[in-house]
Amino acid sequence: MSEAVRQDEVILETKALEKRFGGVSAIAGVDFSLRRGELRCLIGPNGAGKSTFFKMLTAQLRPSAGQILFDGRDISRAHPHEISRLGIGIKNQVPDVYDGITVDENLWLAARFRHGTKAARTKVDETLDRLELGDIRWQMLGALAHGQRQWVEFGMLMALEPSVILLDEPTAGMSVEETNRTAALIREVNRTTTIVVVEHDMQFIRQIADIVTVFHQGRILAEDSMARIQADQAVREVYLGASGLA
Amino acid sequence: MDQVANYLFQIGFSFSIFILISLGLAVIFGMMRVINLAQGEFLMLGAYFCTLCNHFGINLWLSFILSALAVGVFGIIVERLVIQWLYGRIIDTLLATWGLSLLLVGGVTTIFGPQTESVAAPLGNVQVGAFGFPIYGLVMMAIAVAALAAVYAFWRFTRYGLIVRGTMQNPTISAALGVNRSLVYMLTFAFGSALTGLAGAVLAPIVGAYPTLGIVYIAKAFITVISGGHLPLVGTVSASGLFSTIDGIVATVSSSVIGEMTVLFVAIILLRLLPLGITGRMTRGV
Amino acid sequence: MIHGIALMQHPSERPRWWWWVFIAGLAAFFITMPFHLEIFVILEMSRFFGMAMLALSMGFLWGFSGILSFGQTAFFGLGGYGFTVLALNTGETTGSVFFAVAIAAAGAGILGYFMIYGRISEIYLSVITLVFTLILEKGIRATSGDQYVIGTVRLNGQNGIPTVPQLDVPWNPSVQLDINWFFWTGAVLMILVYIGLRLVLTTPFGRVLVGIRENERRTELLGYDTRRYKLAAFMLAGGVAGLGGAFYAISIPLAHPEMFSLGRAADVIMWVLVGGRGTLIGPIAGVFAIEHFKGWLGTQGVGQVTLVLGAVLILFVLVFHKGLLPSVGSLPGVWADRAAIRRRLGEAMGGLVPRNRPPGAGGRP
Repeated sequence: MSEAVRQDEVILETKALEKRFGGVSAIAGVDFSLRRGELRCLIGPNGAGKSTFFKMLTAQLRPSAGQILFDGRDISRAHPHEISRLGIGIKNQVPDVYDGITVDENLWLAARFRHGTKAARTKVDETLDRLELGDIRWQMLGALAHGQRQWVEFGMLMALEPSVILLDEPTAGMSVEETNRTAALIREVNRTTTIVVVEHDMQFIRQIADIVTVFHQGRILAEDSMARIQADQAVREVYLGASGLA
Repeated sequence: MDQVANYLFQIGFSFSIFILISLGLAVIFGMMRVINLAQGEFLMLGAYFCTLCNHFGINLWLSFILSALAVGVFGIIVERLVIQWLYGRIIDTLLATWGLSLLLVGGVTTIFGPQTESVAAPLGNVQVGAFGFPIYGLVMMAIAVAALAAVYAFWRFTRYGLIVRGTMQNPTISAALGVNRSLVYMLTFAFGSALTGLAGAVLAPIVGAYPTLGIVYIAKAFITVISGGHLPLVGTVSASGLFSTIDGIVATVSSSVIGEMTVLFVAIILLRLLPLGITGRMTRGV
Repeated sequence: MIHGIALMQHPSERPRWWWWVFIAGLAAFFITMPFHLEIFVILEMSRFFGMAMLALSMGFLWGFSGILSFGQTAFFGLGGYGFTVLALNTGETTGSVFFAVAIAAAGAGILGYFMIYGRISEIYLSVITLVFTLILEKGIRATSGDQYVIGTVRLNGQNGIPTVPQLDVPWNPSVQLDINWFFWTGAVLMILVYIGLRLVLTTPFGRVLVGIRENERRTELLGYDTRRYKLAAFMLAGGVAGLGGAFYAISIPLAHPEMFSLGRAADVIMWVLVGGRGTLIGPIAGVFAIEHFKGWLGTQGVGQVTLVLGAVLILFVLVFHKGLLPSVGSLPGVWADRAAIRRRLGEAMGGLVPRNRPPGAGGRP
């Protein structure tokens, strides 16, 4: 956390955020705030509303009520491309990449948007170095393994240099080894960027989390450090006999 | 007074045509999500079959039913030979059914030649003030409404209708529940084809049968179903209502081509405002 | 599935020297033609150049931005009529060609705005473009009356406008191009359009388009306003189709409602599909191959040409849906992949292998 001075500054917050589908409230009034430089994990059992919450943060769903503020600016009605322009990098659970073109071109499209055509090339080189993916640079992305495709997508976010990165289950479908490498990568990027991760995998969360926010039935149940959350009785009950947290 | 009657007749007549030509497409495209560009040629086949029946001296009303059945059977053949390999491959379906459309136009032209085969329109006219209205036009409206009601009832109230709606929404679950989904798809496609065959037969006495008949109506049918949105029946009826009103009025004051062009432009603007169609935000209904 | 392109050359790379050699060879091939071919062959080939530009517009749009417009013929027709009407009114042809391009691009801009900014799904877009060209055809066919006149030109409905002026020497309207010069103009225009579109693909604009084709949502999440890119591509393709239409109308010489028709629209699909989507040279090859094939079919007395074309289209979709050229280009891959092809054939013919795709898996568009 190099930007210690600005640590307390809130960069992303929601106020009384709600989402109803028909008569059902998937998110029922969530006040959430994230400070610059944080690495925040969102957890919760299935149906807790964390995915809906994630989709609203990323403008893929429109809130029924409430506000989302990014740097003090209301983004609850923005388009996905506007969100990205403001400096929010988004990665959905399923790799959302360009399968029919090379790794290099994937990264170039991201770098060029942020840095312009001239600087894009150097930025691609730099990102490939950071990801240590130089040897697959000219391969078609579609031909790569699941883990590698996830990393390339992560690299696209890095090349965008957003101020906040939002990740939905970045380790879904990864082997233990791949998960460890992803954790290291996230930690590394967190030195310069604020990150929010929605996750299931407790092992992984323990590796990376500072502060954890627990969702339950569309609300925030608890928010604390990982150690305290694991000791929290209410959270243990939500996870049915605490097996998920053991 | 008779001017009002004239407008009402034009709108009602236009409405019945919109409904007839769109109903089969609403089943096949709206419900099954199979984009069948040969749908117009199914219509054309229905019309030809009707003229054939007429040629052999079969009663007109009976030949409507026979035409529907014949095109339904033809639908089964098409589904088994081509469509069943293409479910989920939307662009490929588009291209293959277009190929089928060309094939049918070419085939029918080879067999029957390019000229129009006609069937005499029965029933004569009824006089309202200064205007004479063909009774057959009124019969068409009745047939359109009856077909619509039958499809609705069938969908809504029969066991088969329920199975079909369930399968279209989630094929995997239906399969897990023991539904033979290949059979359901085949029969639903046949049902949609039969409806279009009926429409072709009903149109035959007023427009005749010729190889490019389908091309004339396919554009109207597609914009109706697309503008209707994701609820095939409610959408088709409301879009038909809107478009036939515009078409009926514009066609009466200028010409039928201008009427049709107006409908297209209204549809394009409508899709800019409601990209998901008229029923885009409705959650219930069929 | 991308074998073919990968083997040839990736379109976003700047063309290498051998590509320019290929272009020079192509140009030389066309330039020498009038010296050793019969005049009727030259006239026939001149017609193909307009069609080839139409095919290029479709190949570019479908192959590189993923927009499947069935109505490129609408802009082809607009170009043809736009040129004819203005040239007949002004007696000048060079400016009229530019006008044809402009009016086609503007038409594409208006239609494209409603569709692309309305964010209708790709399937709806295909159908709406098709409907658009069919309705335009109907509209033009209905203009046979005396009252349908633009300037001094009667639109003539069904029969079309037969008095399309021949191209004259740019900025010297008194001298008309003869048959050979017209042929050369067509060849050069077609090659220039090909080079132009090929180079567009190497620009940032072109690469973003390919990004949109591959994954529109990702492109949007990266911050690109994809609607602007798609609209620009749609207008560019519309303009190219308009240029093709103007040239085609001059070559037959007739501005006719047929230019908008379903049959013509089907031809465009066929050219690109047979030549191969995902390439630009493929659609050109498709025009020459298919049009020759159709000419040959016509002399074989098989009756309806559309019947055969329809069958070919179905066959192509069911068996090789990447097109001929990529299939040939990826021959080494194909040999290694023969099992896959057999599987595909089996699927198409039915029965050898169980289907692995559940019906309706595509979901709603």
